[in-house]
Amino acid sequence: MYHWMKQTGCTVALLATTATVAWAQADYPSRQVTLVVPYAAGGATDIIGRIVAQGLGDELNQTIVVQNAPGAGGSIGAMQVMRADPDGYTLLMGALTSHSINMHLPTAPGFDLRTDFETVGLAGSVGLALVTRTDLAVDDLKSLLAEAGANPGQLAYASAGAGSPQHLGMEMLKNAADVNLVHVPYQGSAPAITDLIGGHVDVMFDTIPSVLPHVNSGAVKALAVTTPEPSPFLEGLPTVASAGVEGFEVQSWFGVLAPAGTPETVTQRLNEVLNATLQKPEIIAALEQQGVVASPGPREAEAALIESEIAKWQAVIETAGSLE
Amino acid sequence: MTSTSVAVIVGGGTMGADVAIVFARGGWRVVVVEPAAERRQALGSYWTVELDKTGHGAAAGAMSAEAKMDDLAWDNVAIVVDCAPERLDVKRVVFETAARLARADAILASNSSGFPISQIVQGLPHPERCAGLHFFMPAHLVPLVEVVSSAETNQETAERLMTIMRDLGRVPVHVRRDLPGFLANRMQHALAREAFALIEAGIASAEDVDAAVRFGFGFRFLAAGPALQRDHAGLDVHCAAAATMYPSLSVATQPSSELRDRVEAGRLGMKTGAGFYDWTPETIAAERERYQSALAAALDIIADDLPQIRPLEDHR
Repeated sequence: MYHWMKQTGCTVALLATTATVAWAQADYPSRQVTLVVPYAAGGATDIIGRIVAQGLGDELNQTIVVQNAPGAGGSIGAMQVMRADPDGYTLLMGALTSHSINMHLPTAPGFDLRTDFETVGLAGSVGLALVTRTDLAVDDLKSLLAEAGANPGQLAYASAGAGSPQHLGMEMLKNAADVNLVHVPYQGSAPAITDLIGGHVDVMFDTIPSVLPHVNSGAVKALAVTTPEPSPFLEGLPTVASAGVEGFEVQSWFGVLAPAGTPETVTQRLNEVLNATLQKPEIIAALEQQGVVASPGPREAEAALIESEIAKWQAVIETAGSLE
Repeated sequence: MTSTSVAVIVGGGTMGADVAIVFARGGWRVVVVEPAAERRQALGSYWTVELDKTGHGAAAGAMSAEAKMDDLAWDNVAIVVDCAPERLDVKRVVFETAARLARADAILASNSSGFPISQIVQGLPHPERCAGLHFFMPAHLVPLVEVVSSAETNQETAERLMTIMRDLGRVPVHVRRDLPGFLANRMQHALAREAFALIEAGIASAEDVDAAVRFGFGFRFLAAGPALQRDHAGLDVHCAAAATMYPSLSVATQPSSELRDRVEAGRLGMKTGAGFYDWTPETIAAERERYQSALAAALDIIADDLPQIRPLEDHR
């Protein structure tokens, strides 16, 4: 009898615990959720994060607070989420391309995107455009590569900073086309474009939303886009791949991540609401204003993208050598 | 809805907090820079309450506050509005910092009522992209905004400010010279000079001056300004009256003794318990409530004449 009671008691307690966990997850989210943006207020990831947060909040009927945690190229915010309780109440607005690049830099960030996080889903991607100063005597990618090939080390290319996708995208192009241009890194996009417009540098990759107003006003010349398909933002412009550098593709990807160990019921539910959000016309339009093409899809798509970004940038960084 | 363009409001006091709401309602990503931690932390709940009143609650997610101008990302910043304390040295630091950090095509504007923009930006590079942008308290409720050009402000800057303000549901007016008081306050003071001169001369009491405005020509201003009103009434009539009256209107170059004496005696209005009238905490509370509800009703009257808030276009 005693034995029976004890066993039953145990079972009841166990059942209660399981029920509480299951209930907690079924009830998710029962309180405010924090979405950590690992970059400064006003930047691209911040704006994308706030669009996603608003969409998720509407779907979940819960407040999603965006918290900016800038520093160390996005690594401080990513680490903060990595160390947070894996309960679905702290999420990362991941800049997947930048995080992947950082994993291969000499000062490794201390996280592994593949093992320290659970995927929630991709948010979208921003393509880059190849732009030149207006008086550079080239009309397309082919003539630019011919010019660079004939005058090794004579053309200077600007970038938003050493180790940025803009910088490494050009290194990728240099490898693929076997040409040599000199790197001039800037502190961010704005000063780099200013100097390109002023004719102090010859060419650069930058995000489409960043170059768009200057292409439209004729202050810079656009040669190609780095997306696999032509960009709706720069109609009529060929892709780098179709213009002669087969297989070339660079995009800056964004996606939501949760700390490793977050229950699958939670990440799965978040994936469903993220996808619902990314199919709403007003969210698509808001992301488009930022030059982001929304990419709803299963969690596996984000995992696969992370794998391929890490492999891609590892190869580029190993070939590029010193990142100056 | 959050979007591409970022507005930076420097100063999170009453004015800055309300100017931030104006931008957020129009879909901007708004970052307020406020060094005082306590004030900075209070902004979020204030914004949520105020935005909810007009059904713009979701816009609160696109607002945040930072301690320093250096703490934010500047690549997307299309406009900076200085709402910092009214001190020239403070404002010059704000503009020097903004000129260093912002994109070359960003607009740098000041809400200052005391310092002309030409004085604030003197010696700074690119004064052509700087202008005055003068709101009236409470900035998220009073529709008028003065876009003030200095001799150096270029036409494009003024036009872009006018468009942005219209798209935010404001009524912008372009003031083509940064004279003290710009446009609205000059007219307000022209009226006040005459009012206090009449009181000083013993021709009318403060109560009767107030009544003559509120119950006479004052409420007509909700329907028509002085130019349109003359078209209603006939310019010939007005012109004849002006010819008779102008010679006896006050041309005082000093504030009236009705004002100066009270200021010297510490009769500063409600905040010291007496001004033109005497006040107790109870009468202050009642008066404030009456005043606020009258203003709200007045806003309702002109609501149909206000521009609609338009979805944000790319203001880069």
